[in-house]
Amino acid sequence: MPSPLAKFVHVSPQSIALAALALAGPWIAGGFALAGFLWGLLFGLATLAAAGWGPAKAAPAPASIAVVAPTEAPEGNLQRLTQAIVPLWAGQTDHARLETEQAITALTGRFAAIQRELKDAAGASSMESSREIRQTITQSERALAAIVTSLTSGQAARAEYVQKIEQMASFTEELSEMSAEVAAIAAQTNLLALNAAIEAAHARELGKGFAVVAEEVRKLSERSGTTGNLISQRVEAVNRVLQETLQATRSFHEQESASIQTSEQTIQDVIARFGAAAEALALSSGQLESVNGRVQGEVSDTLVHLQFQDRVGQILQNVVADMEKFMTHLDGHPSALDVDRWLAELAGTYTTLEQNAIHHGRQAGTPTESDITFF
Amino acid sequence: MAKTIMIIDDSVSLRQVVGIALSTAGYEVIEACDGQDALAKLTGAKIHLMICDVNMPNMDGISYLKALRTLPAYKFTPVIMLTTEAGEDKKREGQAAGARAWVVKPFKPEQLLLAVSKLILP
Repeated sequence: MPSPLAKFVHVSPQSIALAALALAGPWIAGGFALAGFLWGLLFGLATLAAAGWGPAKAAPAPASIAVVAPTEAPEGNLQRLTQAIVPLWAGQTDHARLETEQAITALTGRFAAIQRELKDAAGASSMESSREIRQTITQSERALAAIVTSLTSGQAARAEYVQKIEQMASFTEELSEMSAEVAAIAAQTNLLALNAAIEAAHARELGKGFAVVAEEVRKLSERSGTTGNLISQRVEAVNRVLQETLQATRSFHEQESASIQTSEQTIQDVIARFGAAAEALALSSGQLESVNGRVQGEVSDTLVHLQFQDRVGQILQNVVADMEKFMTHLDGHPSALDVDRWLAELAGTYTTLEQNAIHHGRQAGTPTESDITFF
Repeated sequence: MAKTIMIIDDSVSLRQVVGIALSTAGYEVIEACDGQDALAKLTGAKIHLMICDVNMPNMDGISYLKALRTLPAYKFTPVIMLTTEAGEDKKREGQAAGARAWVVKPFKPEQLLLAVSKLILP
């Protein structure tokens, strides 16, 4: 494809080669492609201008370049194009620089906000809080176990109470036997009194007094028998009440035992469920914390990489400044252009090692992490 | 009480990156967009350290440093230059103007924080 500049100016093969080298060189420069490309265009143009600003040479053009008959003086065309196009390049470059700066600033702001939020989130769901939950569960387990112990000891006290009632019930049996014995003695005494009364009747007048005694003994034996029966009835009543109490206490004791056992089991189940939930929480909290840490690291690295904007901005500012200088020069005396001096002045404006490398035709490479110089 | 660090850089994003690194490490941060802005923000209050760019509009970092050293309150405030300038001549110029360290961008926050902790005033 013919060079677009060829229709404006006759150039020597050497000039074309120099310009092409200047144009192609920047593409080697990886991350600095845009700036390098603009430098290339500028140098190419300067080289072409230096070569072609004098009268056009009559030498035949190389086969690869189509020569179109100029409609006006070639140097006039080139100068007009340069005057028109360099401000456009400068404007576009500066606009691109500003747009990039705005976008990167917004992006940095967003990443900064994300990093802050991640940090806050990490604080809220930290392992520390999950440890606190587990500690609370352990404390609750101890407190509930103490309640179960208290209930169990109450139950033991009631079992002792039941034993005492059983003992009392056995006493009432003895009392029943004793009252039966009293009744038997009364019956025997009554029989003896009866026999005595009979013997007193046999003794007639002499047995009168004895008959009175026998009657009194009989009455006493009757009263003893009645009292013995009453004792027996009361003992039976007491025994019934005691048996009922014993029955009720045993039943209550059994219910209570079952209830305590159920409570203990329920408490153990609840604690186990809480424990499992706390373990799961600790696990997910740990995972969350680990992911959070990784994301924070990534965001931090991204923020560091966004520093490229500052470097590229400065490089593009240098490019634009040099384009503007070039324009000022064109408005003056283009023929007085001193390429070597120009390039030396340009080199003096560089701030980065990569700019210097590109300027001297070396590969720029990726900027390495900074070393610190302490004074 | 948190120590105060002033960042002077014309790049907003760079100020943000440095600001995040410093505030995460627990420092109080004041920002200025160039040397002139930084001088206007010096109220006499103690600033424990400054981090300053070199190439800035209105007033560049070296000129700011020279102006700073004429102010009694900030005569001995440590200043770290944080810049894309990697040339030895510039470094010497910065040293002569009173800089205590020279860090070339891009930097790692850990590196910068190391320099800060080494130089910051008590």
